[in-house]
Formats: sequence, C-alpha cells, structure tokens
Amino acid sequence: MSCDPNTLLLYISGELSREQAEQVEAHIAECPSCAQDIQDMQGLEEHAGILPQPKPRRDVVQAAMDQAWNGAGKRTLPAKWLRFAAAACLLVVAVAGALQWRSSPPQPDDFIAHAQVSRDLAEIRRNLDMVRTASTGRSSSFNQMAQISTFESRAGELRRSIDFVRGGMDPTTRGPETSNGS
Amino acid sequence: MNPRNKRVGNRGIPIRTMEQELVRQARQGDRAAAERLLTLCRDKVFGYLLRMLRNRDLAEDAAQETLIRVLRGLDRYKEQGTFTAWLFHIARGEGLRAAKQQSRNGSPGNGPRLEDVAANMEDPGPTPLEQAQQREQARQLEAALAKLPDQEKEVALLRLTQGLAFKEIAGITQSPLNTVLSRMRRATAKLRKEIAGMRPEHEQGEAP
Repeated sequence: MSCDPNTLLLYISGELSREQAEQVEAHIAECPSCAQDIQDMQGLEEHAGILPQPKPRRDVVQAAMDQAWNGAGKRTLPAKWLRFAAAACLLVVAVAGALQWRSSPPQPDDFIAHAQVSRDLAEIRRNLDMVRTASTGRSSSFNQMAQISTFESRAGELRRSIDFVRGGMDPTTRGPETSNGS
Repeated sequence: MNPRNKRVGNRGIPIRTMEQELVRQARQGDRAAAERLLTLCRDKVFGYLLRMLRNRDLAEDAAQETLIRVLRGLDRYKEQGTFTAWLFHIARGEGLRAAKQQSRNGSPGNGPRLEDVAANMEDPGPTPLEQAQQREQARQLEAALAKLPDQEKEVALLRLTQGLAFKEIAGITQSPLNTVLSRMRRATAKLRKEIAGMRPEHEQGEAP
C-alpha cells in the first residue's frame, strides 16, 4: 500500500473492510509519516470532544410538535382513508358528468346542421311559393303538380330534420316530431 | 472505529438503535416517542446550525424547521440510510436556506457572535481550573472552526462533532466521497495549525 491520506481518514472513521484496515496497519507500521498523520487526525477528533453542546433557548421541540404533529405519526391511516375517499368522490363526479353529457348532447355539428337545414327549407319555400303563384288561376299542368308535390315532400323531410335537430338540442324534447311541412 | 460512532444512550442502548425504534413508534402515532425523538435530535441539530450560521436566533429557527420537516417526513423516511444522515441532510438544507436569507438581508444577524456564545455555554468541568482550561481550548477550537470555509466547515463539523462516517457526509452534502475526504484533510491541516499552540510542544507527536 502506498501513502494515501484519504484511506487513512477512512481507516480512522472505521469505513474500511477488515482486509483494507489490516493493509493500513501494516503500512503505518513501516511509514512514520502516515503513522504521524493518523495520530494527528485522531488527536483532533478527540480534541473536538471538548466542544460543548449548545442548547436552544426556545422550546423548539414543543413548537415543532404543535405545528407538525397533527398528521405525523397518525397520518398513515387517515391519509390513506382520505385519499381513498377523495378518489371515490372524483369517480362519482366523473360518472355523473359523463351521464349529464350524454343527456345533453348539443354539439357544434348540431348547430351547423340546423342552420343548413333551415336555409334549405327557406329556399324550398320560396320555390314552392313561386310555383303556386304561377299556377294560380290556371289549370295546373302535370309537371307543375309534380313540382309542387316534390317540393312539398322535400319540405316535409326538411321539417322533420329540423325537428329532430331541435329535439336533440333540447333534452326535454329529444326525438323527432313528425311534421307534414308547409 | 472512532468512539463517537458508538455513542450510547442513558440505558446503554446505542443512540442510533434508539432513534430507529423511536422513529418506528412515532410513525405508529406514538406522540411521546415523537417528542423523545425530536429531543434527541434537538441539540445536535442546533449545535451544527449554530456553528454554521453563527447566529442563535437563525439557528433556533432553522432547528425548529428541521424538526418540523422531520415530523412531516417520517412516513417518507425508509431506506434512505441512517436516520442521523437523513436528519442532517434536512438540517443542512434548512441551514443553507437560512444563510441565503441572511445574506439577502445583508447582515450577519443580530444575535451574539458564536465565539461569545461558546464562551458562555454551560460546561460542567470537573474542577474550576480544568473547566477554565477546557473553556479556553473550546473557545480556540470554535474560533478555528469558524474561520474554515463553509464547505470544509460542514464536513469538519459533521465528522468531529457528530461522528458521522465520511460516506454519510458525502450523502448529506451530495458530494463525491473523495471531495469530502479532501475537504476534511484541508480542514484538519488548518485546525491543527490553529490549535497547535494549545498543546505543549513536548506533547506534540506523542500518542494522543
């Protein structure tokens, strides 16, 4: 073993294995310099024993107990209990939220569909009125009658679509209402 | 092994074993055990913080915060090494926080200087003469410790006043073992130089 002051410190603090400690002892038996180092360091450690142990003037133990004991040792059971209860509450809220979401489904797509169908219906109504106006006072041709029938049929479908969408947006009236259209 | 590593309590039980048992009881909700545990910790934590901060008020505050954190962290303390190492890891953190606050406030504190505190600490010496000599030696050693740079001082304090193993000190200070050992060597050299005059010349070099 060569001179290694770090190993000497670990020897003094008892942190070497028995084998390593024996190597150090064999070394210091032949190395006066390391033997002196060990004496000096051990001397300092013993000398430090004269240092008094200061005590705080305040009762820091009681102050710490007052501030932190509620929940320290006794915390184990209630904390797990509380955690479980909190998780259960969250689960209930999540389930209730999901159910509420399912029962009130107005979605952005619903509003877009509603607007589209309303525009279509207004267009058909205008066309229907034009055909009706054109046929007023005249004998309606078959084609005109067929046009009117087609428009009315289309208007009826759109009316049902609108009612369906409106019903979906309002949970109390969910479900399509049958309508014959105008 | 250094005798400080084998400290025993008043019933002959090694203090570290006693601490572990008190930790176990406190974690089961035993308030009296928690109080005894904190009382065991109190003086060594306060002594370390007082010597690091050199201000009694700050050291008391930091010691109290350390004990609070110990109580609150008892559940988390498991296989993190010895209880003492964990305790000083917390105490060191509180000490650094207090020192930072102290330097931010721009003053070394209003409390008495450590040298004055040391000179007035209770020290029940066996005879008035020995007591006076010990006080003087303690005062000189305190002064020499106070002069060390902080990194060397904390290693020296943890080793010389608490008897902690260097591996524990490396864990507490979060430094490599060789760094800790180098700091201790430098601290030892400085302290020996400072206190050399305390011992008569003919004793120097003799076995301690």
